[in-house]
Amino acid sequence: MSTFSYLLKKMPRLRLLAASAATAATLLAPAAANAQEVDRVVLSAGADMLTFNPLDVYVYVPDRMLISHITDTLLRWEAPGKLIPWLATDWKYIDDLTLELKLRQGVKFDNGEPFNAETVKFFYDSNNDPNIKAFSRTNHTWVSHVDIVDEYTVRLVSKAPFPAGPAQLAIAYMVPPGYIKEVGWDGYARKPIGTGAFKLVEHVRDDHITLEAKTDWWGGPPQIKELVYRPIKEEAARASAVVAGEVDVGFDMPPEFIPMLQGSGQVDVKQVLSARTYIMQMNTVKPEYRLNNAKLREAITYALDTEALNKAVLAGTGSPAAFLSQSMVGLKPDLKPIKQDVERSKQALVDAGYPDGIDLVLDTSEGRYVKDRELAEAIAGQLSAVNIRTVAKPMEWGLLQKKRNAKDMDDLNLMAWGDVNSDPETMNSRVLASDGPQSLTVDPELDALMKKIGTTVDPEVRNKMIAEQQDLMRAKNQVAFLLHIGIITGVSKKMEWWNPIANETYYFYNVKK
Amino acid sequence: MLVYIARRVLQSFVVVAAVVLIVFLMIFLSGDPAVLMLPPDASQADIDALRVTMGFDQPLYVQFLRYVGDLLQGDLGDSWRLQAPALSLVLERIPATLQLGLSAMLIALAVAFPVGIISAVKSNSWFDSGAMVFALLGQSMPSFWTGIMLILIFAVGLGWLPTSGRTGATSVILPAVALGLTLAGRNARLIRSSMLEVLGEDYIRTARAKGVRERLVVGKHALKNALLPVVTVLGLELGHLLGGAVIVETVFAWPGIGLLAVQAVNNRDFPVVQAVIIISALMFVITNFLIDIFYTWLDPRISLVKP
Repeated sequence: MSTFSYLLKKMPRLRLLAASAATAATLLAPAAANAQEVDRVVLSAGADMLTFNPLDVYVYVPDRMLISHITDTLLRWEAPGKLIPWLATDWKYIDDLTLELKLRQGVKFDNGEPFNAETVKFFYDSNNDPNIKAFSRTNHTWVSHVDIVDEYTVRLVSKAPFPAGPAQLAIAYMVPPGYIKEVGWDGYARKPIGTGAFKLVEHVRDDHITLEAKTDWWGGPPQIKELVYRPIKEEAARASAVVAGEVDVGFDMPPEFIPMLQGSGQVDVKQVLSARTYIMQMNTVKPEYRLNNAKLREAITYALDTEALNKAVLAGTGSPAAFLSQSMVGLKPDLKPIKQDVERSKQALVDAGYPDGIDLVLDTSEGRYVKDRELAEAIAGQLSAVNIRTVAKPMEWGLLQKKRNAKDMDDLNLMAWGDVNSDPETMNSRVLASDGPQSLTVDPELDALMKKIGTTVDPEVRNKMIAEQQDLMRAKNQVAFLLHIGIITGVSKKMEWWNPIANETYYFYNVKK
Repeated sequence: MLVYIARRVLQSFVVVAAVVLIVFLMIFLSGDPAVLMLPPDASQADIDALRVTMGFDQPLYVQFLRYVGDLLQGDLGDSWRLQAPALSLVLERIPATLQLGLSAMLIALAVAFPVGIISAVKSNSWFDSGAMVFALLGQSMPSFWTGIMLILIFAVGLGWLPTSGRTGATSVILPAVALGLTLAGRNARLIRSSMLEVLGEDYIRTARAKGVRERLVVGKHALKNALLPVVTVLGLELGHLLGGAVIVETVFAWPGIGLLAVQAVNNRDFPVVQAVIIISALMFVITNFLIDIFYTWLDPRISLVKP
């Protein structure tokens, strides 16, 4: 039993003693002052909001989560892989390059500006304007320009077919053109307004953000009257705040805090597999690199016991991965995670020409992803056990990026990639393509297939190609898909109706009680 | 005295100038700032465009000269993430840092002085032994552990105080105690050893022989002379506190300069990192300058001594 659990088990008696003393000690705040009102929900994660500017935003929690309460997107995820109408009520491809949207009528921004076709055009024009700072520009550059058909119909035109376009509409947060022309994008980032269910009341940096519900919201009055976000970086302090009732939903709880949260009796631990998957890249950037040897890659892949890694490193909160994510379009239903096969691994190592084994280096970030260093060390141990003598080399994220940009990566690299769109497009173009910014793979056959996947709009044809990609990658092991990472949230019992969702698009309104 | 002050001012200026140079150079050792500022899926074109927008394509000395020029006009640059001037972000954290730092110092002194003095006067007694064990414990326990234990006991278990955040008058108690306990332990031991040394001096023996009351011997004659090394350490500690107690602020989500620094480093928000370090260095230098002046009151001989 951990120290934390032990103390909490002893607390009830101490609490009784203290309650008697506390009636006389009225100077100290009694426990009742920390109780949450029914209509007020307090959320907490590890970082403060970076920006309310939708062109700059790329962090899901808290940035995108809170922005999506202040303003609305064109489409919305009801569940991973399931898009529903939102500010756009209908969408269809009228040709391979043109996506036509019908827009919701009668929606206004907080300053009275109407939401219409001009709003959509303004968003994409701003994103494509090189003079406007937009760190998440690449999410929307697939739209080369917007044609206005009428006040509530637009056509998003791209230079090349982009089948993942509708998914990107789920992060296209609409902003009021008139207001932005008045205050500028920086002004908007400080005082955002929108069409959303809530409005920003105040943002005290590194302390709290308060949102208030709008009773006249187009979707109906939100269930929750006030939403508060508190950044609490230290995980133990965040878990304590949930147990103490100061926070109703604590995000990103490490596995070791599950006993503490459950042991309190006040908190439910809700887990779901996230859209983020650990992948081990194998460096084939140059022809002379050893990992160009397919048998060596096979030896590495089959040496790994992902069940054991999940149990030992992620405390069973993850799941062995067959491919990118469980909700990915085109995922073959019969594709299972690779099971460890030590004999096959050893034979493949001999066939690769390394009967005496081989020495490899595994790069990894430290603290960038949950348990990244520990996972890399465990992988190095499993590989070393089959004579693939591997040394894990954890390093700070900035240094790792520097190394990557200098094309100086070692044999293996542990990384995690998110698939919030339930689509392999970003993984293909960024992590697997030979010219991808995060890629360590050079495979012309895979490149050609992924290029076709990226430019085919017909979903049936495309899904067949995605299935082919899975077969090709299972045969050649360009990367090793390891573990889907679990999301662990500590949720107050008063929030029993709320559940985390794999793609981390969390909403606190329109929930049925 | 004026020469002494002028000398200290010049030394302080040199220290701050060195900090500015080191901070500027260190930032560029952690990787290409343009790459680190952009999401992982950014294209090379985006990286190149940002490099030009931010001036990273200029030679290092050009960037440094521009930086110093802006600094002299009070412009520490704009945060790359938070749409605000870096200086204003730091300045808005100073009240929280001051509140925590001064509260912690108050707790530390309120504990350290009586414990240290009584331990010295009653050296080798039960009180002395117990106090020194307490002092060693206070000094040995890492502040992040102390902080978490205080949260579990007083906030989660007893429900007396908030777990974290700057939410009201009582919210400073736990972080200040976590920070103050370490300081109290260290200073209690220092005060004790300094007092013991002074209490063994001839002039103390003379004062006692003349019949001066023990309270005056200890409180007036011994304490003032024992304060010199203590004030030195207190000055350094106060300077560190005013620069932001990074660990305690992180544990307690206290919105001070330390937490701002951690967030800025994580976000590769270089202007804010630079602003935090420069302002912290300035506060450290100013605090120790004031301590240097205070020395001359404690021991007037100091201002007359040539370096």
